[in-house]
Amino acid sequence: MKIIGISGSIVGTKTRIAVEAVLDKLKAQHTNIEVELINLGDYQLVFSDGRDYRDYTGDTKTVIDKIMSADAYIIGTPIFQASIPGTLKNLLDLLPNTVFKNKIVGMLATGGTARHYLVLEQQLKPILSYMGAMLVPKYVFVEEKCFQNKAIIDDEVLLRLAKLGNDTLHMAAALKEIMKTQESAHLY
Amino acid sequence: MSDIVIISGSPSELSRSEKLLQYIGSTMRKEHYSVTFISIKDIPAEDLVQGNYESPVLQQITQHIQEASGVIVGSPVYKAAYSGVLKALFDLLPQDVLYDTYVLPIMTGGSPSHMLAMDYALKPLVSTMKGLPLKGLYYIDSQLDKHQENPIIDEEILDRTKKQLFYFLEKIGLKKSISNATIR
Ligand SMILES: Cc1cc2nc3c(=O)[nH]c(=O)nc-3n(C[C@H](O)[C@H](O)[C@H](O)COP(=O)(O)O)c2cc1C
Repeated sequence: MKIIGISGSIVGTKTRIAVEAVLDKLKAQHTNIEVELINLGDYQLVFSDGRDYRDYTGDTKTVIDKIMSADAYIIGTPIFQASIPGTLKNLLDLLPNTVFKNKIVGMLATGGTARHYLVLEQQLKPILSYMGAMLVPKYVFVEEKCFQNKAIIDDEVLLRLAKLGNDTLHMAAALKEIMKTQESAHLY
Repeated sequence: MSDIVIISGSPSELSRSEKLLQYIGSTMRKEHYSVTFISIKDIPAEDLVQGNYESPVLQQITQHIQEASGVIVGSPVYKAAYSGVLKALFDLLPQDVLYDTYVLPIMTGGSPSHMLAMDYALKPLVSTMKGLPLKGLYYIDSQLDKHQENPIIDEEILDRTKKQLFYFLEKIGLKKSISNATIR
């Protein structure tokens, strides 16, 4: 089982810290899984121009290939102008329509205040649903005040992040089982 | 300073939506409105990718938008929403860049199923930048031929286009009607 955490911020550090918190907890609790962080700020992606996803090169290809190879995802996004950043949307634009088909996606957001909690409900979920993702229904919104010295200091938020990771993993494991039985029954 | 600023959000070389927006721009010019056309393709990609708030090109664009009487924002539908690169541009503009400005949103999509991307994705973006979104226009690819002078090949959407443009001009207080002769 491979779980990829995507931090959709190219500037700050908070989204990366929150996604890392989920991944670290998962790694500590489960030995039979592989986790990897993709921090958008570490890669130079080109803008999607509609070509086939296999035709990209360089960093863009590296990131696409990594994402294609995972079973489940934690997508973390900062809130920019009441939505997800253009750079995260661009990453989604680069991927084929079916990339998340039969895969589980958990989500988290970081933002100034929880007033933008519904951004994920209204802006991110519709895009991921269109891309075939099975979504963990509850996502976590981490407010700015929960961070101090590049760490999350709110224990309750840390618990919710751990639960997000576990829910994502368990849903992915359950889905794998279902797929197996469907395959053996030639239903799939 | 221009009456109307048109922002085109397609990164594609031979873009349908851009061809449409250019046509709309040229009809406005024929009616003696001044039009500034901004394509995201004209903005250095590094500025957008790296989030360069200091970019002189972006400062120029901000000024054009702030001084315009009305703005037309166009985007192809990508993954049931606007294109990421258009959002990358708006991420770098001041949060009130569209303050008190009427905005005509325009989208082109491969499928009619995504018409509401306009209402759920593009208009909220316009609103959050303090703009006043109008009803807008959604074109399906089959209603457009990007190789024609006038790319709008469907009668019904052509009528709708005329109506919406007229309404847009009325709203921005430049009420010279578009003559039927211009858009054919
Ligand atoms: C990356 C990508 C994603 C797309 N996603 C959608 C979509 O979700 N829904 C849709 O109706 N059309 C979709 N299309 C089709 C385009 O919206 C349509 O062809 C549009 O007219 C292209 O405009 P352009 O030529 O100005 O870029 C997509 C096209 C591309 C390249």
